[in-house]
Amino acid sequence: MPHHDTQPGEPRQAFFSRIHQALGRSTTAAPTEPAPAVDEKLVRLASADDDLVALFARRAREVGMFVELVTASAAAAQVKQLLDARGAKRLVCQPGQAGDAIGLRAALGEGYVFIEPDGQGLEPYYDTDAGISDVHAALAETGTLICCSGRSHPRGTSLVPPYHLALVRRSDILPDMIDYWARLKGIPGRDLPSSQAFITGPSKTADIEGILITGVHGPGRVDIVLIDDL
Amino acid sequence: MTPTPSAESLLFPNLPYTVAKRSDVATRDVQLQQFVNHATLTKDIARKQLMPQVFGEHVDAVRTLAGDIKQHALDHLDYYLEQFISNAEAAGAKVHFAATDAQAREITIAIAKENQCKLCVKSKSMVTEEVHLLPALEAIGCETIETDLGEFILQLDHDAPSHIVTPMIHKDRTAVARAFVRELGAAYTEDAEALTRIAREHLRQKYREADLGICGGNFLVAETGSVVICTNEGNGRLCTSAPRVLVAMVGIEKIVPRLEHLGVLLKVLARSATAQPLTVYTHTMTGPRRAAEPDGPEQMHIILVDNGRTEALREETREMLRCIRCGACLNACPVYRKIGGHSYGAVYSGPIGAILTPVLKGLENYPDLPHASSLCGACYEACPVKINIPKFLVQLRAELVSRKLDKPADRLFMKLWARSLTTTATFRFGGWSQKWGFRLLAAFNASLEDGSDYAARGWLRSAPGPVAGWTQARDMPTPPARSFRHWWREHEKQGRTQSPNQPPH
Amino acid sequence: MRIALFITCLTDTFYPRSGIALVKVLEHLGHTVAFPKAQTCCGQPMWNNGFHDETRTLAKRMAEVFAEYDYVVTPSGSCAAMIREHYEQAYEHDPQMLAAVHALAGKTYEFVEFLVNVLKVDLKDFGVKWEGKVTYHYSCHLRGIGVTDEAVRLMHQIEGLDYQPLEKADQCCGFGGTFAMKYPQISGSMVRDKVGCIKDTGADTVVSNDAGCTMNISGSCHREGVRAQFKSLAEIIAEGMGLMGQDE
Repeated sequence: MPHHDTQPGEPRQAFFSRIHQALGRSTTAAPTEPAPAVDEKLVRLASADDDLVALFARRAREVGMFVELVTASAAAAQVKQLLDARGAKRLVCQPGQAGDAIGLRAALGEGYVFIEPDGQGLEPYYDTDAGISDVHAALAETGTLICCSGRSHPRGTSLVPPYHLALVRRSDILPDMIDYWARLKGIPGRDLPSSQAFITGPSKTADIEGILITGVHGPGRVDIVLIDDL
Repeated sequence: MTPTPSAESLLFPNLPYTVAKRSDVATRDVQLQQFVNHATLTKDIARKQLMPQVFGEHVDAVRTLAGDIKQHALDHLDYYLEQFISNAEAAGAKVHFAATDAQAREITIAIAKENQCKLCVKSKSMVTEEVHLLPALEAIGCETIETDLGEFILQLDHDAPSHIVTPMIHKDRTAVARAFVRELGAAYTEDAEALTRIAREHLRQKYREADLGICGGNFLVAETGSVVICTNEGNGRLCTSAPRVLVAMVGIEKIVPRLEHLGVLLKVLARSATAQPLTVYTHTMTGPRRAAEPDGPEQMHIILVDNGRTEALREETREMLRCIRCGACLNACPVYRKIGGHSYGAVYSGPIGAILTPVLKGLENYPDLPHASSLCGACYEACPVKINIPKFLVQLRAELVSRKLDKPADRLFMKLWARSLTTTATFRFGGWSQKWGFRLLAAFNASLEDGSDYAARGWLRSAPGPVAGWTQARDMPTPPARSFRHWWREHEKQGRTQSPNQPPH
Repeated sequence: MRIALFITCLTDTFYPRSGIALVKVLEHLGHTVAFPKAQTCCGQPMWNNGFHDETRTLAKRMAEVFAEYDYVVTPSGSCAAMIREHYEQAYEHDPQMLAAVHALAGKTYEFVEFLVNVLKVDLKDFGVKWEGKVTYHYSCHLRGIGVTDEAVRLMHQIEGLDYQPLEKADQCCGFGGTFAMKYPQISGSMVRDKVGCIKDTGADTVVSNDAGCTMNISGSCHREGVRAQFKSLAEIIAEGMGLMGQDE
């Protein structure tokens, strides 16, 4: 970005001096007391002792996602069956390691158009029927899918097509959001993906008279193929 | 329905602002009452059921913890903001500082111009409303579209949001249908699903063409430099992923120390707002797209906004800034239910608006807001970060008194009243004269009932002086002929009690 | 135990029968009730309107008047909340007075709360009978003192009492002290909402334990032509125990 000598806005120092004044000090001071600890007794809503597959499936269904529990050997066929049932032909297919593990690309075979990201943005995904992705984690507590951006993980897969099909392995499921944040402990921001999306249901709105409508901007349908033995 | 004033004047009225003018109209608007009552009540009941269902006996402790986290971050706002800035910059974002609404607009305009942006898609954000961003972008020829369905409809219909979370709570589908016919050339339909489809198709095209995306922020995470937005429709993710330039405009009070703290705050935010476990999309953004990533914005700008927040950051009012904009206090508020959001004359409405607006925009400009509340406390009970809203309403009322911003007649009345309560003789005289004054008036209109001296009373349909306001809305019961004190004297004579000066053993 | 009655200004003048019933019930349960005559007002109107110096004068007086008692019982949740929640805020910078008002706050109870949570009364032990279809208004300031369904529990212990729950029972009736006079349109709209809910219950009696709420709701019922009698729970219990005289 070109550099400007007279950037609009306030110089950082002046901005902070008002904050310091309100806080009753003249320079930035590190807290003398630690930030409040996340008391798991209060806020942990699921633990490793729970039946995580059952809990995840129940919660995901409660928020309007379709969940099918399968074995790895049956997973690819299940995906194909779902795609065909929804009439999905033009696919953004980025199912990552989970997809490789179930041999998805080969199993799908002929009859689909695979749309590849062009490295420029979301444009390739608009005229598609389905986005197939794996997840970086799933939360049993809320039935949440966590999709992070990365080299083979476009943001668009779970966002732009009208239908999102997610592959979730049993080993992806974490009990609680607390466990996901714990996994990121100590990773500096610059090493995080630019986008971490927690997805808890199909796109929803109730803006018009409180009537619940799905699929307003994001996918109106989210199917989860939950692989029990991976 | 009464003709709508312009969207501009709804949220940015002439100052000082008078509540009664709009609230009186609102209380006569039967349709508004129905919409707002239904929507807020449904959400309030759902929240009240869900919180104990999820957190059991710990609901109160969870609220305390959530409040403590926000309070700690505010107590050390300088430290955590510095941390946030360096981590956001390390992740490739550019951080800007806006002291005022004008600066927030200027920074955004400069970014738009520098990148020759022509079309902006915007997700829902209170702070962008607050700094009045949209007209400023339109003025430089950058078409700007609100993409949240509710906000999109309001923009089309030249209306303004009236609720923090559900902005078009005051409108029904026929208004949407008419706006879509008029502004989009759509065929008339009142079907909510069909209306949503029309909006989807229209906005999809905009996402494809847009070169600037604007969002707000629910949280800023100091330890990583991340901005978190919570949305249900997916427009938030599209606005922050489709255009090549992303601007996140966020108030400085949104800071939390660490990602793990989201594990508390996210758990109470959506549950308090809409009784959802989480919003459908909780999007944590850390810098622009990385080199290896196939999509996402090339630039990420973060505009940190003060615009009066450092005024609220003073110790006396700091707690107000804990607000995570869940809207639970609006849904719980019986006054909001009757007058709707526009009656508050500002971007933030409801109980939190009634305390925040006078601090952000000057108590002298909004002297009515602290009094437009019955102090019932439903807001405090609902607040997931335990902001003691009634306490602040009273604190602001005290400030009105100490700064002599109250009405001289009210002041004199309160002082005389208070004085009369300091001796038993004047107190009793006050009660006695009120009793006989009221009963005399009731005798004139022959409304005195027959019966016990301690229960039979009369009714006033209209009364003079300070009681006039009362009888505008309801009848005033008069006291019965005899007071409790009178009965007590008789009771004592019967010897069934002892005088307070001879306590029992 | 030395129990003192804090009658409150509104109950003293407008609802003396509630006070009478309260005293009779406590006496019937074997307690002695004192009525310190120097009491005036808790100062809530001043506090809520921002006149905090004036409030402190009244709070100090209250602390002195009730200093010698073990319990202060009042027929108003609102006035109890004033004493318990706000006196300490009023004196947060005055350690000596803070101790005095803290002591007062610790021993002050709303009447129904006192019956249920301190005396642990079960009305079934006393054979309380009261015939009628009753609904109950939960007054807002009970929130501040942590009172929830105590009154309803007591009503279920009264033989013959047909309790009808009120829709939006915990929604404010719109009284709010001076709010009712400053914003009559808003307040009026709120109380008409309440009256509508009362009408829907089909109850002939409304139990309301705060004089302010009672004035407001009964005044609106009277204006709107909704026939319902208003009583405090103390009156119902005293009547159900056969304690109220003809002329009371």
